[in-house]
Amino acid sequence: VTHPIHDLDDLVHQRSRLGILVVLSEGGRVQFSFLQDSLGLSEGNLSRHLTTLEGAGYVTIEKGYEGRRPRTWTRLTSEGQQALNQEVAALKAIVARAEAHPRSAAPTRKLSPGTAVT
Amino acid sequence: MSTKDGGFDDAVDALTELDRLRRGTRRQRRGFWFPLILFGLLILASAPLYSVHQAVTTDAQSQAKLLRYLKTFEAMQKEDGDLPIRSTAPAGVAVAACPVGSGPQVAACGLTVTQARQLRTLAPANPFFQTHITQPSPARAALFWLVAGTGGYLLTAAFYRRRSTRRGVATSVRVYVTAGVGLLAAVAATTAASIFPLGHLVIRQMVPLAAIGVGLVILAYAERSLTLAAVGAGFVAALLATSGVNTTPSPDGPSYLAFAFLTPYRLAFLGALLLAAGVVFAAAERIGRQAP
Repeated sequence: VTHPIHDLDDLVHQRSRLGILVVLSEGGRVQFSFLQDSLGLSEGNLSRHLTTLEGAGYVTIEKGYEGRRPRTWTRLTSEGQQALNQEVAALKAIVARAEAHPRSAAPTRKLSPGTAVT
Repeated sequence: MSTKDGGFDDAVDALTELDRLRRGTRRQRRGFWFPLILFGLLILASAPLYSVHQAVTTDAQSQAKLLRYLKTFEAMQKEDGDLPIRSTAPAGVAVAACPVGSGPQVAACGLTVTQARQLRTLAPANPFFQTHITQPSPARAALFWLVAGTGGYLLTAAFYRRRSTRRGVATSVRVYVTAGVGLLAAVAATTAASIFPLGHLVIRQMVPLAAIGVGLVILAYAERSLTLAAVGAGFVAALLATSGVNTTPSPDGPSYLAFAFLTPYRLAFLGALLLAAGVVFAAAERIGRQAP
C-alpha cells in the first residue's frame, strides 16, 4: 500500500504556495496586497510563487487600475482548486493513517526544504 | 519540521495553518451585516405603506350592515364560486381578525383592491361603504420595493465593491444582486398584471419580503455562511408566520391556502428582526477585527 505522503505535490505543498491557494480558494478574486499581508511575504517572493502557480495553470493573474492606482488581482482556476483539494485530502490521509497506526514506519520520501507549514 | 510518523506532525501543522488562513480570509471577505441592516431599515420604512383595506364600523346600525354584507358574500360564494367578489376568509374570521381601536367596533379585513373597488360599486347608495373603506396601498408598496429595493441591492453591491478595494478581498455579490433585482422586477410585473394567485399574494405584499428572504439565502451561499442561511430561512418562516398562513375550507372543493394581510406592526417586527441580526453580525465583525 502506498503511503499517502507520496500523494503530496511538491509544487503545491510548498508552504507559501499552499497558503496562496487556500487564500484564493476562500477569497475568490484577491488583490496582490491582501495575499502579501495574509502570508507575510515580500513582493518579489510572492511574485515568484504566483508565477510558478500561473505556469502550472493553478492561478490567473490580472493587472489593471482602480482609479489611478495600479492593481494586481489573482484568482484560483478550477485546476488549482482541484490540486488544493487533492493536497488537503493527502494531508488528512496522512493524519488518519498516523492515528490508525501510531508506530508505522517513517516514509522513505522526505519533504522538500521549506515545505513545512508552521 | 519533523516528518516522523509518516509526516504526521507536518500534516497536522499544515492543516492547522490552512484552517487559520481560511478563517482569516473569510473574516475579511464577509460583510453580510450591511444588507441585513439596510433591508431591515427598508422594511421598517415600508411599514406605513402596508395599511390594509378594511371597513370599520363604530355604531350598531353600521355593524349590522357590515355583518349582513359579509354574510351575503359568503352566501353568494356558496351559490356560485365564480362571483367577481370573493371573501378571502369566512366572514366571522375576518371580523374577528381585524385589529381596530377601542370600543364596540366591527371591521372587515382582508379585502383585495378589486374587492374594495367592487364593494363601493355594488353599494353606491350606502354612504358607509363609500366612506369607511380605507384606500388601498399595494401599488405604492410595490413601487416602493421596486425603487428602494433596487436601490438597496445596488448599495449592497457598492458596499462590497468598496470593501474589495479597501481590503483586497470581498465576496462576489453579482448573483445575489442580479437575483434580487430580478425578483423585484417579477414582483412589479405580477403586481401590474394582477395574475392570480401570484398577484393575489403580491397584493398582500408578501412577495417582495419573501424575495428579500430568498436573496439572503442566495447571499449565504456566496458568503459560505450557514448562519446567514439560517437567518434568511428564519426570516421567511417569520414572514409566513406573521402573515397568518392557514388552510381555509372552500365550499367548492379542497381547502386552499389563505394569507392574512401584513400589517404595519408585523412589518415592524420583520424589519426589526433583520436589523437586530445585522447589528449583532456587525458587532461580531468589529470585535473580531479588534481581537489579536
